[in-house]
Amino acid sequence: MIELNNQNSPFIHFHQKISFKFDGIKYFGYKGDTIASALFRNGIKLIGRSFKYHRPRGIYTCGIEEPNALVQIISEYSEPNVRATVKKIYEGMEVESQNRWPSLDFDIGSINNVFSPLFSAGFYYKTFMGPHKSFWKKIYEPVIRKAAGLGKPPKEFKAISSHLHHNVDIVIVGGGLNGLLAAVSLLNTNYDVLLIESDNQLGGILNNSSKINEINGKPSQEWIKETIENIENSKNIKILKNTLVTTYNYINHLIAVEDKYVGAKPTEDKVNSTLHKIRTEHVILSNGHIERFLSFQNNDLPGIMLGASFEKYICRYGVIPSKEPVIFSNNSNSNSLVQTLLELNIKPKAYIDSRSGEQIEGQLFDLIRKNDIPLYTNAQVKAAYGNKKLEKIIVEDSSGGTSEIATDFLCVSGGINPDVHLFTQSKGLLDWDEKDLTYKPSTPFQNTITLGSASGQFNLEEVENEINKKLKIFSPNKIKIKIKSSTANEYQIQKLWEVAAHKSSMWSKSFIDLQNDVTTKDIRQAISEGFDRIEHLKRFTTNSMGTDQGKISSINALGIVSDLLDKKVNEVGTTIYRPPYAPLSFAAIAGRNSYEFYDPERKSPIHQWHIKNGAVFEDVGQWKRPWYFPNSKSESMHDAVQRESKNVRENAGVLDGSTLGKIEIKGKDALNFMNLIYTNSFTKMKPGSARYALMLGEDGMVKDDGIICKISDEHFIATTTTGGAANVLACMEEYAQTEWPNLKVYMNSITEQFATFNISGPKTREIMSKVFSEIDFSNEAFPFMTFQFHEFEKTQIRIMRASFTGEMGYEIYVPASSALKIWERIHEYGKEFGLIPYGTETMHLLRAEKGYIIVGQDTDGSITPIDLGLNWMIGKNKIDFLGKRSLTRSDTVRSDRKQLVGIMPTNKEDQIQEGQHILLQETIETPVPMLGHITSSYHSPTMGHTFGLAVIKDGHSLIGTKAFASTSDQKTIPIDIVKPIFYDEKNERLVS
Amino acid sequence: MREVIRSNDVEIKTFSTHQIIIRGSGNSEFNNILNKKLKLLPPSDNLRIVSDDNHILAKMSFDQWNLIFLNDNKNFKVQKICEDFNEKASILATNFSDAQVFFQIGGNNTFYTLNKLTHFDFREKNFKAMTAAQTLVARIDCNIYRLENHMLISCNRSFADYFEDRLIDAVNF
Repeated sequence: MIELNNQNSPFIHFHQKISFKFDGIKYFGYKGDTIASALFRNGIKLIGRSFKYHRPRGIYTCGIEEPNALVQIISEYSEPNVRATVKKIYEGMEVESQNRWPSLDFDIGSINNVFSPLFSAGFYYKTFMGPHKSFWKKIYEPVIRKAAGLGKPPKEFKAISSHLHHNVDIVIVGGGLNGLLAAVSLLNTNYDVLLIESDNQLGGILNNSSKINEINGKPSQEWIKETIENIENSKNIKILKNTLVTTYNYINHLIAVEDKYVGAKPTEDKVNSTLHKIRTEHVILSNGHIERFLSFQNNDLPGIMLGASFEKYICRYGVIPSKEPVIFSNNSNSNSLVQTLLELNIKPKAYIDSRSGEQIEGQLFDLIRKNDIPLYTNAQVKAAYGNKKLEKIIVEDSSGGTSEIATDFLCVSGGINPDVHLFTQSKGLLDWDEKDLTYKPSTPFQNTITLGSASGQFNLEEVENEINKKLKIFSPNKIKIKIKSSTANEYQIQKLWEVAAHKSSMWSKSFIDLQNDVTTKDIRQAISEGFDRIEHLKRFTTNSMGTDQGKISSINALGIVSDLLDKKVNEVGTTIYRPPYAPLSFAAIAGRNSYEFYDPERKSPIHQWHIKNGAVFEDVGQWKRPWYFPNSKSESMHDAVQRESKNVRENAGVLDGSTLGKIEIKGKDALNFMNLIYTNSFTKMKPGSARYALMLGEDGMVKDDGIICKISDEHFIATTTTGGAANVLACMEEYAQTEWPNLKVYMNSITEQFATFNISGPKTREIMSKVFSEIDFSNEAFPFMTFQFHEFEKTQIRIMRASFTGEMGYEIYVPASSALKIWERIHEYGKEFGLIPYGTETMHLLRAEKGYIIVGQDTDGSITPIDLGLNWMIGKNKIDFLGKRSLTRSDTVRSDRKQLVGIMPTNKEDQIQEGQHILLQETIETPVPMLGHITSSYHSPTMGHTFGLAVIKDGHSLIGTKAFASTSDQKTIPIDIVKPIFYDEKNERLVS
Repeated sequence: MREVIRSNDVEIKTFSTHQIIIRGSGNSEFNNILNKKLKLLPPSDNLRIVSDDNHILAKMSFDQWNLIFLNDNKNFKVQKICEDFNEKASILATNFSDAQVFFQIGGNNTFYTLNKLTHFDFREKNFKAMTAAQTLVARIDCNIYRLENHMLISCNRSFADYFEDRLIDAVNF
């Protein structure tokens, strides 16, 4: 390890050495180091390759704004694009550089730099147009996709993340000087406050710089310690450290990600990160500022870094990246860096300032002179040169003459911007400040307060006034603060966006966006090609895109554009900063809603019985329904369904229909209500009888169906489809409350209260008579479409004579707690009659043979009852019902609407399938006049061939004709269009 | 009552109990019927709870009350109460005893744990004792009853296994 340590830093544990690997080589750092600070400690400057040109890149910043130093953490599920400037090292950590092959030092991709004149802005849009459109899909896109991207996506998803919701009154984002003072002002008030800091240390600038020496007469670190103690002991403020606020949504909803394993290897059995979802009344943004860079030739070489970041590495991370840096600035923010270096007896090799000697702060000027530091005023760095690292810079002085300085490090400062990303995410408006040359928050859209440098207030003398004034609405504790600063309080800057190239050529590059390899030349080209709107320019050049969103460079780009267009920056405007502020992983977003918790699961009361009896399940909405019951491991689904269907037709079968929606409706106007909700008329229906009913939408299209049981004119029970249960109840409630509030009626869902068993088959009556021996199941005592309540072992059950299979059948409604007992009893008594359980696939097959529709399968929201041939279900004498008016619209009475028909293959060995289109001609000629499609198709064991239901144009008049079904291999199958009923057309078995 | 988990300063138990969902207008006749049957005056404010040793009665919306039986009752007795209520055409009382399962949650980390699963604001100032709420917990509809010393959460029976697993997971992770 090269000794570049600043032992004065209180945040690094110099007694705790940590080993880690970078590109397979073992290095040592200290506890508290980031990957970047540890690499600096080992003299490593080359850390990655750039996105497009594969240029060597180093560490440019010391925080979340980093555009270059993105690495892949092999030891953490191979997590890509991790910022080396943020991620802390731990023992055994394995890190790899990205976007290079075969090695970081020798990267074949750097050939792109040679061809870079070809890859200017808009290259992709212009180049990959021809010679044929198929080139894009087959050649260009695969090649570009392979070459693009930085890290490699992890192959396995193992990281555990959890979510945590918060409801507070005030959120303070940023635990620096202003954030801490805001917290102090709210100490022990009645507000619930959440203070969020992305670092593992509170203090911000107080830790990162020597700018502030004392606060209220105490050394700054002592003041921080006392302040944190007070906050931690308060009753109302909670601190979240290592937590980055990524998103500021509407209605003061924030999202923040907490890293639970800072400086430690995440384990696979504990939460690695927490996604905090925060709802609050007020937000105080005290998230500071971001330093910006300057554009000059080769400003991307490893060894060039932002000045404030250089100082942060010294103060916060106790590492001195170079002992002979050159400083290049146009503003007063670099003053403290000079101060910090001199305090460590490090003399900068030169200080270059674009400002004149008179403009440079007197205190800094004296310091430079006193320490005999070479000073260049009215000067600019024209270019940087070196092989994979900075070796020399070219400086142009006020006279236009140039000189060369050999150096391994250049600290750059182009000014500072308030960190306005969250503010603009919240839809707050910005204003350009001509004096400080930056956008500052002006009008908040939500209850947002900005403080300190986040608000563009860079003067330390104004801190006290600003806090007391802006937080007045909370009637807080008044803040009294005296700050002793080592540098000038007033912020000064001279405009400088770009330095003209030292030696201009096709290959010379002054970067404006380091992460996307966008040069100032690209910006010029975009403008010359007409992309002079900032949002267009962003997309044409990719400037300010990527994981850093141009945090250190976007304002520079605006400055350059405003100069080129000869407009004020305010007129150019700024691009919208969209969430997230920094990338967050899919693991964090998913939280625990993955794998077994991906979707909530619903189970019927006898789910365990189904598992024990080998059911294969299908998902129906959130329900797990038995699909079929294979009788052995080798029995296929087809064979099982054929066997089950045959058995129901010949003996008996029972289906767990508990998922069917069930609604109880009661009130003195219940009859009127039901007559209005459903198409059928229930007026003449006798109590104790049941009726198949249709529910329409206001558009007249079939919305749901079910069976209505009439207990009395004031009391009904309705069943609904499994998937439609919640919607039907919601629809009933909506109409009861909003359209027909005059009707006295109430409804409750009883879906969960009752299990439902559908037993059917020719031997059903015998089985039922055995199971419920006191009940008379004869046709006379229990006719078709009637129901009865019975006490069974001190439980009330309801039995309805109805069937969805075409066979004689009963539906048994049992309280869920008694379900298993009765289900097992049915099987016990049914055994001798060949009763078997059957699943949903058999149910579908049997109902299709009978021509019974499934809403949502044979209908698609565009089918009326008339289209289904269910005219008889429409209560034509009713004054009104939901959807009635729509049934007489010109469109709904058209004869050529898609209508339900049956389909039979002409050649019985042909297989017809759901989704096949119906054609009138045998050959397929484009454009194909499609009549409609097959909605249901099965192989019938009874008929011995496939059959189907279809909705086709003018279907009812086509019954009895021949047509064709298209196949996926562009062929057709001859079919017969028939009536949509294939079994027991006279209902003899149903009512037997 | 079965213990689901006791860890990280949270204790969760689950149980089934009898419950009746009562819909009605909330007028004086309605109140009288309820008072006569239960010896409880129905709360008039939305989401308020009244209780005695045997019942919890919560007003869940402008026309819905949930009646939860705290002690063991025979099913037929509850059914009889339902039928008695239903004698009035203006009231719909539905036996909901098998429709939901209950989870009793207590301990210092109750709200912290639940806030892993729901955005609901459990702060005392916004969710006082003896009030109820209906919200999503672990992405399913739940009723939450904040009693003096603990919380009750009910969810539909079909979700019971899923919900129990989510609660255990929230305590552990």
